[in-house]
Amino acid sequence: MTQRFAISTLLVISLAFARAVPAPAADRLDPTLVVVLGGGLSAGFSGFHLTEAGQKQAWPVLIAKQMGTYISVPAMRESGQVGVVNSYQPLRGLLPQVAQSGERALPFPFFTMNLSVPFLRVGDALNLRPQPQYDGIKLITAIEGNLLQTLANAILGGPLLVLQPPVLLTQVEYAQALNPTLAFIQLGFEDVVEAAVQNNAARITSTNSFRTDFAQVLSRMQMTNASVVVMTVPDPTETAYFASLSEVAGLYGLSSEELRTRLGLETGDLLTLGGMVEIADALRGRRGNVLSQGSVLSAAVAASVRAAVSGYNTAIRDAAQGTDVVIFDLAGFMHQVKVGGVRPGTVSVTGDYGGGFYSEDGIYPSSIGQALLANAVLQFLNSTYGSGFAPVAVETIP
Amino acid sequence: MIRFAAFCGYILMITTCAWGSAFSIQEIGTRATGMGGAFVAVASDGSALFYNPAGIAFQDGFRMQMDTLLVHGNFKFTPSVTPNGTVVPEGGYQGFISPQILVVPNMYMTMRLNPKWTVGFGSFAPFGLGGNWTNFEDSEPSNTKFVARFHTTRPKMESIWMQPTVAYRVNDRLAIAFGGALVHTHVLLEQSILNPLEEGRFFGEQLAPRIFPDADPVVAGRIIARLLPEGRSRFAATSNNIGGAFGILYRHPQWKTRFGATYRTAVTQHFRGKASFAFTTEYALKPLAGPAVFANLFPEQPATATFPTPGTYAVGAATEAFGRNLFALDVQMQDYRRLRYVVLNFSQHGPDTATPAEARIDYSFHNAWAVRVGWERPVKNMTVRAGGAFDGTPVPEGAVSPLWPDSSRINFNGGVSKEVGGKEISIFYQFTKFLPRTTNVAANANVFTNGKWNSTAQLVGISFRFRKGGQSLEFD
Repeated sequence: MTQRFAISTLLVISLAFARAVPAPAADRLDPTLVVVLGGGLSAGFSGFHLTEAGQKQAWPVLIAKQMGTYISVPAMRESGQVGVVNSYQPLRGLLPQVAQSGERALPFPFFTMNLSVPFLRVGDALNLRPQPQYDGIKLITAIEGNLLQTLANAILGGPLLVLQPPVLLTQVEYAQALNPTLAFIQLGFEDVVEAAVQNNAARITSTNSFRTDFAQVLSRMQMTNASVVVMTVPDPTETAYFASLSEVAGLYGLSSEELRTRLGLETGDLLTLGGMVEIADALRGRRGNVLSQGSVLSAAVAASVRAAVSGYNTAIRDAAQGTDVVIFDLAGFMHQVKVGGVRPGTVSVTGDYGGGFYSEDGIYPSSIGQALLANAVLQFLNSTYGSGFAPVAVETIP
Repeated sequence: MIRFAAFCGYILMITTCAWGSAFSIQEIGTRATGMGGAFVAVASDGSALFYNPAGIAFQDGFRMQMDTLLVHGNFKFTPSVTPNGTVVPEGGYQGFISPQILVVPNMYMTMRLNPKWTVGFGSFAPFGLGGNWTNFEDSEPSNTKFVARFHTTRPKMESIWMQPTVAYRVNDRLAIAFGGALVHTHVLLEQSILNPLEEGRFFGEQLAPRIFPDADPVVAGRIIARLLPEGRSRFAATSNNIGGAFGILYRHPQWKTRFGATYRTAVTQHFRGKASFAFTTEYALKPLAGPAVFANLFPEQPATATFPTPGTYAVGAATEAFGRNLFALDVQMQDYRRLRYVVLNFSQHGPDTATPAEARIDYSFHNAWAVRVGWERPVKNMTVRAGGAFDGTPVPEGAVSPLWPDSSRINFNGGVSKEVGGKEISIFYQFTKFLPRTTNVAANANVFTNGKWNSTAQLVGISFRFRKGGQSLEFD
């Protein structure tokens, strides 16, 4: 079914060959058309799923308001009827199963500018296209069992899929086509987080592959002549999803050695969110001391994850060197959240689980966390470009 | 008669460039230009038909003169602000890309009928404009294109006066003349359209409710403007109008001095032509809009425009009271204030097109004044000349642009003539220095015409002049 946009039927304006009352001329930072190439963190993924509420509280939306511009969001329905898929593959029996809708919420913008797709790796930004399926004439975008493709179909496809022929763009192609003035690149977190959650180093994107792909992403965004801001990759082991033995032991008045010995763990192992739940049960005598698979991030895999993050951030800095690209140290910001917390006003927000910065999934920021991140980005833009964007009023964030 | 008929069919092919104030061309005669253009009271050759028609009353026999002028301009623009990523050529944008040398021919012919009456015919271009800032192909990246392209990329105007003239010699001292001219003008104006900072955003505001329904239309309009194609418009038209020229020349033999005054009428040009449009083929809205929507919104169509060329008022004095030297001084005013705005009318302006019924472009020029001085002296078997001029610009700061890259200028002139076998060959050289001009007008920020305008021009001319019958080619 063709729903080609009938621009010719729209109201026609007087084409002003005369000089009109001018809009503000371009500053060195021009926030007119902002695109974000990111993953779950920039998409507003929160509490194991992506919903309209979380998306509209994500940092790109917040900074757009402060910059006096608009960034369109491919809002997802809270409860979709088509293609309900399990989100995030949570630990069975330990964490709640959360349904992820595959449907867009109405009204939806024709073009998406927050192109961030949860679970999208840097290579996917270059290569992954929407792949809709059809049941007769019915378009199916939600692919059961394939959350990444479902979200790509919804976010990068959306209304473009109903055109004949459908427009199938990768994240980078889409961003280029929009002719942006400002582009944020927040990629790389998804290249390591899955490995950390699943305790599987084989799921880490190699540093060499990341370096090559990221350089290509950056090069293609530079060709748009937009101001480009790249973000370093935060360490997933510093999120609230993981806790050290000493941190957990301290909750129960034990030493880390006692806890390690009791549970048969190794020095340097980290406990996941599910592991923390199991330990609580074990210490209360509700279960044995053998933890389930998925409860522990081994020290070896954690070291591989950290090494990969370090390699990615070196690659990012190398790619930006000698160009006009500026680097926002997202990794540094998230590290600060972990070690020292943030104090917006009189409220103290920490990076601990339940401390306010992270959502229920412990990996992606809550609405407060997104607001704090937005303010950090705004402050960075102000100091880098001399702009005077006001911060987000964090106390007004629900 | 045959000579008249032949010249009635003469067609001038002129490409001109404005190196007089705004689009005035003063370098119409080689001998005159060698004297800085101070020729109102001299008017001693065929170019008097331009400088002061009454001068032909003092030229006997049949005279014919052909002047050819070669112009090389160096018009530079360095913008003060550009969109991010714009690549500005080293030394600024060049506004004289192609052709790099312009050729301007003029022709004059006079014949004394009897001691009282002299007739003449001249074909010359007192107004012209030519520039080419098109350093790009439409398919090239926007950051490499001329930054002020949404104002103008290529302007061209040629206004040819074909002027039969009648001069009456009242007595040995006083002559008057009148010439009525057919003024044929051709204009071409090209510019890029759908500027994301101007009309593109207005267009975007109309589309906003359909594309970004939850956004403020003004904000969304700015965004959608960047999703549109970039277009190019062209307006090409001609006009035929009537103009006139009047002159008076008084000679005081005892003082060896002449006084002259001349007036050339303003002409309101009524152009009829065609407006055409083209657009880049790749843009974000294309999958939604379809391939033909912008062609339908901006159809090729007849269009008209009204554009005045100014009247010229000049007075001059020339004296040979100092030995064999001839000194001349002219003061001239052109009433460019007539050019307050240009009105462009499109023939297709219905509900399905984006071209309006009328587009008005404000320029608000002011009158232009010029002072010219010249000197001439016979040396051995030649005549040498020198002169200069200060030519004030009528273009206000807000109108300085690729269309009017104008500023006040100073001319430095020199020339020489030599008579060979009853024919005279003259040459001149003129160096024109435009006073550097830096503009900073808020209203022009979105078309990026603010910046440094710095230009020079060099002109070389040659003429051939001969007579049949009558006295020598010099003053009676």
